[in-house]
Amino acid sequence: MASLAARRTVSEASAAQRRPHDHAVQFYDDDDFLSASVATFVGAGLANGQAVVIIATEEHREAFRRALLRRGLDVDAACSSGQMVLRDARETLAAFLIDGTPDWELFQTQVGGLVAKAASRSKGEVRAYGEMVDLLWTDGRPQEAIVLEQFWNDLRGIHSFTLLCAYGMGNFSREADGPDFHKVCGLHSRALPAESYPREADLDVQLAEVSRLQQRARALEHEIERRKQAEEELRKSREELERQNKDLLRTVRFSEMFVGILGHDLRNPLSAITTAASLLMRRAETDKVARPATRILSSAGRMARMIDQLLDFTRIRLGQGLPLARSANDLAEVCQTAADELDGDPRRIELHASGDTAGAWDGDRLLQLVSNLVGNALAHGARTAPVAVTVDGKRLEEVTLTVENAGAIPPEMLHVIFEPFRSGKDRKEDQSSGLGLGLYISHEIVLAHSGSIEVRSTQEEGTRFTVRLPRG
Amino acid sequence: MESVRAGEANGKVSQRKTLLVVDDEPDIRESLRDALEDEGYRVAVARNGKEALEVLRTLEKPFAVILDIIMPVMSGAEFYAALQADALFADTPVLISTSDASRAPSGVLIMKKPIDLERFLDAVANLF
Repeated sequence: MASLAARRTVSEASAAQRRPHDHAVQFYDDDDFLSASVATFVGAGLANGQAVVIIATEEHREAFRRALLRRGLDVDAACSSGQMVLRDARETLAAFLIDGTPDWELFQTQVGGLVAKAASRSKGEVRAYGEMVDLLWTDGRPQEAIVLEQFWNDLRGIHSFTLLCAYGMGNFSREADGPDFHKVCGLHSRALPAESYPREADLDVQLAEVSRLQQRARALEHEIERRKQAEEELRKSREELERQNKDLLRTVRFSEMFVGILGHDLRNPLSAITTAASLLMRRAETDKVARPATRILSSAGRMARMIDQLLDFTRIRLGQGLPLARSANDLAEVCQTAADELDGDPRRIELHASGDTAGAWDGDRLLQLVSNLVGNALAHGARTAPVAVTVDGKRLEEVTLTVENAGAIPPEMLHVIFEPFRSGKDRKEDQSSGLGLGLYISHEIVLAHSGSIEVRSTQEEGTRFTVRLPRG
Repeated sequence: MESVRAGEANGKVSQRKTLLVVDDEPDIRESLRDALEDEGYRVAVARNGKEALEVLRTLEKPFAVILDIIMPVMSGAEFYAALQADALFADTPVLISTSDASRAPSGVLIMKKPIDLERFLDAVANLF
């Protein structure tokens, strides 16, 4: 607790300690505060018969004039008598800049001349206020402002005058401004805080304010440190993301290459095998030659189907989807073609169609879908009952296809039936192996047509796949 | 049996028609040559579009082209464009045999590899 004697305001204390030839700097946030501060500084000089030089912007000059008038000081009379000299900051600054840099000789002539002239009229007592440094700083030229501050100090070695400078606090709002702010303070004999500092309050209040500011500064330093760490983490995350992105691009490129191999490089030799085997069959005079040729053809056909499936799978997984070439098609006709093409006994496929079974679909993809569903039913269904293929076109907006066979899919398989590369535990030994992609691709074909596919399978009712296709 | 087949085929191909098989895969070229010769066609082969353009000028009409698409030096699509741009050959029948139909020029008969030989021979017969 400070004693009563110590309860003096800083203003009183600093006034008592004020040296005769001060070079003070006033920081400010608001123009009104600056006007009040400059009016106090200038007003005291005018009242004591000192000469006053003000180098300020037009806006500030007008604000100072109003503030001085409010204090009962006749600015016009002071100007007329030559006790007060007002100059425009921008024009005065331009008069001693060479290529944007303050020139000492010109400064001494222009500004030193003003001070000397004012001193000659007032027994050597001069108070000067300048804000050219503030202009330079605002213009983004802090180093030139610092040079100018030095010139003012040097000028005070030649002429005797008290000087007040001003800087808007907005010039120092970044953390990086700290060193330059410190430098500016160091170039002045006194630094006067901006209005947020309670300079009229007693010492205890001011000490409390200093403590509060210290705490705030510490908190801000911590905050800056925390943000730097966050930025560093962000940078690391970004680098990691970029790395992952590169990996992903590599994977995509590899996948595209894989698609190219599937689509072209494998199909070409397969085509040669198929053609040669077909030729062999055509030329075969005995079953001894024809049988192995048939086996080659059958295997080559299976391999071609697997290549097609892998190609479709890769396209789907690369996000390219299945491209559709829609045209007018009849689902019942597609089913008939599929039934004709399938190797199974045609008597085991019973085809029923009703209503309008036409729509705008991709014919090749539909054939692939039906062939797969019916082929599965023939391969996996109980041979005791036929495979029933029903096309129902009685609804206006969609056509429904059902493929039914006797026998059930094991319950544990049902929920993964449309997943790719399903395990083939349920395969019978005499059935040819596949990739487990048929139903996955069938599902994708239906989705590409904006349709739906579902399966129901019980031991009692058998297995039924139902496909609903909007007419497109 | 083989000679009978060829004889029957030769009977179908009354006029000696020529097919130019353009494919960079030697096994495909030679298999198709065998199959087409069995049917009674005369067969010329080329390994790419550039070679095909040269061979084309030596052929007697009528002729048609069996064309692969993805080939080095000059692709099937480039060859087809050159063919269309030449008044002498613009009306040449072309059957494209490719592993990637998406790269084939539009408006041309396409058979996807691996080809079904029976369908292929039917399609070839319909070219003339």
